[in-house]
Amino acid sequence: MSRSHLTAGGALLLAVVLYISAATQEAEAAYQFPRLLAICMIIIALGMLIAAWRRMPEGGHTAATNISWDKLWPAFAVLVIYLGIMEFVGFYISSLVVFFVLSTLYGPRLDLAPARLTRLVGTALAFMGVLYVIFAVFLRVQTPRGLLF
Amino acid sequence: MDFIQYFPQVLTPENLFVLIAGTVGGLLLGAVPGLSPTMAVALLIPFTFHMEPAPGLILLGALYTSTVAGGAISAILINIPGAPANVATGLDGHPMARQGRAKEALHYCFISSFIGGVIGIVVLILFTPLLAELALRFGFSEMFWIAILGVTVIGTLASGSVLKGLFAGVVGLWLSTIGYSPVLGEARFHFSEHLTGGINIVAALIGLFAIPQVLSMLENAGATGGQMYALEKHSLWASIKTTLKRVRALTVGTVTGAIVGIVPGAGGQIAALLAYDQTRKLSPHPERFGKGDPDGVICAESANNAMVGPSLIPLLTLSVPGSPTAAVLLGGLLIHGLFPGQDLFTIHAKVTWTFIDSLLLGQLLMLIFGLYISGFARFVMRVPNYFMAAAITVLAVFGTYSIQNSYSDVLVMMVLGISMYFGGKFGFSPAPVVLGIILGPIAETNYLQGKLIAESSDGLVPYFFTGTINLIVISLCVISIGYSIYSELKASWRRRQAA
Repeated sequence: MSRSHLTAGGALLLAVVLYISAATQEAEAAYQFPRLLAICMIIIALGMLIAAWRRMPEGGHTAATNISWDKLWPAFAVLVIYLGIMEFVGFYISSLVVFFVLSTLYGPRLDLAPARLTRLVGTALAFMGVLYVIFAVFLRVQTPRGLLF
Repeated sequence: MDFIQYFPQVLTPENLFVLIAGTVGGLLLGAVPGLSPTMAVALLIPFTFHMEPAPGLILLGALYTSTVAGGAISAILINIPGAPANVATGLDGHPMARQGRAKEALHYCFISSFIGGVIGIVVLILFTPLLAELALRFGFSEMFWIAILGVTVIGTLASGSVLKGLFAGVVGLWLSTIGYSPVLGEARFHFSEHLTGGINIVAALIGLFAIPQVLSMLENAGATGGQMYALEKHSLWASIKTTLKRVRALTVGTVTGAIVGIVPGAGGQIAALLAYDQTRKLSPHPERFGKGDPDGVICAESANNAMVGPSLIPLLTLSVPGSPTAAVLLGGLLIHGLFPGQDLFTIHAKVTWTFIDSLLLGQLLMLIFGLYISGFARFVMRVPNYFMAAAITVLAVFGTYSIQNSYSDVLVMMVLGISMYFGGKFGFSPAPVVLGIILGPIAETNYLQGKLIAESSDGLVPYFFTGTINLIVISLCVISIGYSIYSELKASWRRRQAA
């Protein structure tokens, strides 16, 4: 089964789930439009399945590409932790840490030499400093403060 | 003449400062490969929320205009387009740089962008009030079909696959139904406490455009840019004279850009590539294209800037954006409480015409600053992907939180963004999803209200499927789907023949 079949099958499954979630609600009138949309999605997904079965090749940027899990799992972990600690630690401190961690993990090589680490910390501090001046001082945008800052 | 009456508003210190900052910032951001105009505008929308409507829109408009022009800098110097709209520019711009004519190419780029951009804004000024008056004749059924047209066109033209584009558009429409029914007020799809307020448009914009780009940058964090060529000395006056003599390239580029701009969903990439193709076919020396012919740079850049003004015509009058970036600008209008239609030119005339006039002045500033900061942009282009990704992540979270001081918005933004990243790997595009989320409430409200009227009169089918405007809009939907399917089938048949 090719990637096109999987994509079309996944789209059909999603459309059916959305239809069921809209069709099984008590307030029928409020779910009229979502049900209509889910039916449209089912029709389009069936069209995708037919196109996949007829083996119509995909060109250009719609062709499915592989996911580099080994490169990206640290990024996903960092994003999840960022969301988890932001409200407890505070926006600026957590953002500073995330900026530093992402720059270190995805730099040209995982190099923990003091000179490079100092440069990365300095860049992170400079970036957050500029953000603070523009948004907290000039635009007065509120951010989660948490325990720290 | 409203555009003359409100022009002095652009020259107030606050508005002028914002216009200059937006132009310079846009040129530098546009030069960074991977930071598209759409993403740059999406990231900055939350911050304009804290500004008055006029300077906020001026900033977004300046960014829209100058990021498109700035993207040509990296296309010419390192053969990596800063935006999809600059792909055609690099076809002749980079060969010119390899021949030691980088500065000459940049001159042609900004001069032709200026000429195309000014003509595009003039088209915007002339046609927008006319279409705004026509929009008064639109009832519930007409507005419903206009919303569907917007999703249909951007789904078919801005995506490579018709079916995936349409599916993404309908998913966007469905996402807009989360929260509360706009007519009946019933709660819907409250799967989590974070969804009780529905999906905030700006959070969705940022998540769908910025987060997938962050993940792509981190995937390619180790990649290095191509060789960068130095800037030689070249007379600006000679470049101006040469550009003005290339009448064919300028005309084809500008006219193509203006027409493509009005077509909902098309965008700068289509305008530039179409103009490039037509100019090459009409040239007495087509064999010179791709080898450093100035006509290649001039037609592409005049087209992608001439597209900017007309892409705002259907946006400001009918809520149907003329390009993916204009779709994001619609979000910027809505958060300032400005709804497309006749009201923009009556109740909010001052803000609207100040914004339009700023686009005109912005073309001149883009020319002046573009010519002189191209050299500095070389340093910005060398910022490593991992720094850009980290910076965009922080800006995305910051911007999303600042809309409503809501952590739920940040969560929704991140979930949508990661989902879109995976969707992109399976060939789905974010632009139709975004437009679906924006136009969903318009489509649903007009559908339900139209249905109420239809049920008490002639019935659903006569109400929604008869009437001149309804039939024209439905025909446009069918034509855009039909044409895109035909193009795909033709391309598929050609690939099979070649194989």
